Amino acid sequence: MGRIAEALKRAEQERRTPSPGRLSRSAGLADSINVSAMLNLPTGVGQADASCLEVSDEVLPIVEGMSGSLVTYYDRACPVSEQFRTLRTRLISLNPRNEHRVLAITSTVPKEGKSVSTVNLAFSMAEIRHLKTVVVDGDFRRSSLAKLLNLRNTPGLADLLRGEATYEEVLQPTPLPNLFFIAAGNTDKRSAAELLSNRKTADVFRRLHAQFHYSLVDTPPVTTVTDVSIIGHMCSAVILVVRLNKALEPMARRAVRLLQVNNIPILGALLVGDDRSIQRYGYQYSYDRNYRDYLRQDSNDDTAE
Amino acid sequence: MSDYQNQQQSTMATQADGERGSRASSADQAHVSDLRETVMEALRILSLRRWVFLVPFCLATTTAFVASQFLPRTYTTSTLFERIDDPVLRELPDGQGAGAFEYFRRTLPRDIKTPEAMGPIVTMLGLDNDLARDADGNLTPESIQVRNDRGIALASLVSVEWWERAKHTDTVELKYRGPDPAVGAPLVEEMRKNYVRLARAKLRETLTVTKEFFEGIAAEHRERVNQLDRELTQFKLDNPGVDPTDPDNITYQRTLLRARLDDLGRERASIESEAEVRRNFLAVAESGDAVIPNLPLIGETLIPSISPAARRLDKQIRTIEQQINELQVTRGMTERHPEIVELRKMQSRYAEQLAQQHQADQLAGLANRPVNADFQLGQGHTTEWDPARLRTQMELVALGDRLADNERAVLTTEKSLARFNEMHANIFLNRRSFMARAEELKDAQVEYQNHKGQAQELARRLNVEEMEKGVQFASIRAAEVSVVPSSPASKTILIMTLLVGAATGTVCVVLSELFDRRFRTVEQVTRSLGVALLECIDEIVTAAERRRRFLRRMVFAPAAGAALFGMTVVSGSLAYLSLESPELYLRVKQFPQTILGFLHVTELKPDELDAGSPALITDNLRVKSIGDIEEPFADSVVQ
Repeated sequence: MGRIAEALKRAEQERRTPSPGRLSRSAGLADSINVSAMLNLPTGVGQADASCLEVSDEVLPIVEGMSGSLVTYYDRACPVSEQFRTLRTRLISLNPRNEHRVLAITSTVPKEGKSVSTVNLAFSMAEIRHLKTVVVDGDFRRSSLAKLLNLRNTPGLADLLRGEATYEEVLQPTPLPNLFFIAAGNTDKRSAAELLSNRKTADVFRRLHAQFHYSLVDTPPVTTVTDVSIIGHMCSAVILVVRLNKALEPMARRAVRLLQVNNIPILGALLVGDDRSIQRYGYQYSYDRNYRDYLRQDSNDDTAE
Repeated sequence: MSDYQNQQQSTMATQADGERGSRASSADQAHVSDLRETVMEALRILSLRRWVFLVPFCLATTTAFVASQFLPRTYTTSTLFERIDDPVLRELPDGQGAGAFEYFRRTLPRDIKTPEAMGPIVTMLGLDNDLARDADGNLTPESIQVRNDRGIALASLVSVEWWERAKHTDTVELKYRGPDPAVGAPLVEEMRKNYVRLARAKLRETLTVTKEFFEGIAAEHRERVNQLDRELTQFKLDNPGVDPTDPDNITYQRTLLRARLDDLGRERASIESEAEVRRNFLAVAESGDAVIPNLPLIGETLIPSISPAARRLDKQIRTIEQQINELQVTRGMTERHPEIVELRKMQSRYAEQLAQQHQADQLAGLANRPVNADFQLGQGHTTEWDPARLRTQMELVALGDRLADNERAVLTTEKSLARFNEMHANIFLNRRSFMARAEELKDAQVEYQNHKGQAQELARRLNVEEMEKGVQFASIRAAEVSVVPSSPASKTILIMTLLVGAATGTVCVVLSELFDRRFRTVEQVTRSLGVALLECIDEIVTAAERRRRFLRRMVFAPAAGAALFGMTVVSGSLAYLSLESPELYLRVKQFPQTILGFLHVTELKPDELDAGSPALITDNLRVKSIGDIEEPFADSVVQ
């Protein structure tokens, strides 16, 4: 068993350790980026054609402190990254006119993985160079995206809504040039509902809608607080994250009913976790190995070309 | 109908058959598939909720194992013995022996459990020591009642089982099943001895009664035999020659009687001739002729005496002779018959007396000279005639008596001859009756001999049984004190406990599955929520999570499983030891106290260790009996 553990650990280190030629930028890069320069925002809708999406194949830097759960950044060859790409494709296909979208991502109960899914989806979206994407941490109570991305939490959306910061101040760059992040910020003992009910909130979301192709807003659980009901009205649609083996069926149905009652369009459900109806061990092992080999082979072919 | 149409119809029929076959096959496959899916689903749920099953299983199993140690124990002790019946006794007629042994077999469970039989056993076991006694130390009537009740209670714990029920052999097992192992062995042994004692007493009683019965029957048959024998003898006497084994007897008797008549005729002629001579002599003597005629010599038998006493004796001798003749003729007696022998002896005595009388008569001067030829009458001496005439006259009287006897003998003989002739005519008619009587006598004799022999045999067997050498009681297996309980059985406890654990685990799994409303599959989500499914994202496993999982799977889960398993195994081992090796179980239970005792002793001062060294403490830990373990340190720990 020790050998297996060592082998897994060694493989993980090899996967996490970039080759000398691929490492182009180091940590702390975000601070030196001029956000305004990078915000070469699209002038209108419908400019990007879904059929000719340009996917970035540049070598990504290692960012210290960023969560290892962001597999779409660290391990693009893994099946989970591919699943997020599939989700990305699905979202794009649901948007045939390439309109700008503000998507709220919520769940039924806490700890279902909506934050990790939001960031991974954002990284997956940002793999397409021309898609400007922003991740907004709309959960003022349990803000976790800043920790995941190892970015500062203030100033953030709350500071912006309180008028303590400007829009440009709260917009933080990420290791990907077309991906930006807005932290939750400091509420200063104000309630989330109060902040979200502010008139500035709609302005902020309109600006996000105008500037980014996709704005992904991480929100609190539907059944816990009413934030989603407020944010949802300012978003194009809501994605409901459901974690298998954790989310309770009554709670999930209640969440859907709440969203429907509030006339918030539900784009669909994103399932996270193991589907235990599948014979996990042998199936997953063979699937992972074969798919990983396939992706690596494809990557080697691209490099050779 | 054209060939094309026929071919088309046959093709359609073939297709229909194929469809029917495929439907049946698909139905079978669906059935098998449903079963497989059900099994796989059950296995999937069990695998998914293995901890939900394992934890209640181990806890319930451990609880059941611990609880099993408090179950009341039952100990079994048995003794096996064999009763070999005496074949002779068993084969007694009228089922006497077999009935007796069947009686033993039937009454054994009852006899050995009577209060009278169990009372002494209770006393022997010392179970009446707490009962009240009088001044002499004897139990009071109330105490005896209590003792008997205890005996009955003890007897209810003993069962009698037959291993073998053969004709001559009974293999019996007395089995004690009760809570006290120390009581079982002496109890069943004493009950076995009781049974042997009771069986022998009953057997002797049966033998005595049977013997007396057969003796009585034999006596009755003996009386009947005697009566029949007398009747048959009388019948034979009344009907001579009726016995077919002596067919010529009556003819012989008739011949004898005829010869006797001839002899009597000749004797009569001789007597008449003798009398004629003497009458002629007297006539000459009365006529006065000088010449005295010569008289023929008359034998001594014709003139035995001349005195009245001699005549009387002579008459008696002849009467006896007539009786002998009559007995020989009528009853077929021989000279060796005791009655004939007795008559002959009497006749001999009379003959001796007659001889003596003759001598006395001669001495008395009576004429004892026989009349012979030299007697002359012509010489003129008239007085010389007188003695001769007198003697002749006396001889004539004697001859007259003899003639009268002859005539009576002739009449008697003729009468007998007539009767024998009549018998000879009826002999075949009477022989049938004789044969029936003889057969009856023979049967009676056989029965008499049979019953007499049985009574004698029973007497011999009774003597043998008195020496306890008749029915054999052999102990095949003596009772032994068993410290291992027979109930509950360790296998039963093990199986039941595992079943309880498995049932508990299964119930927990089923309940958790029933009340678990969490989404498990994608289908559940899509079916329940009614929203579009965008994508299924697998679990993202980071390195830290992988380490946690590794630790959980390789360390914590095995540790928890091992702890649960160890708890179950330890409790199960203790439960098993308590059933299979109680002594070792007690030692294991006392082990912590022993360790504490060692620590305690080592803390004692050196001078205090003399009374309780560890070696002594260890020796003090010994089991006297189950449920009675000595306090391990009662003698050694210094207070």
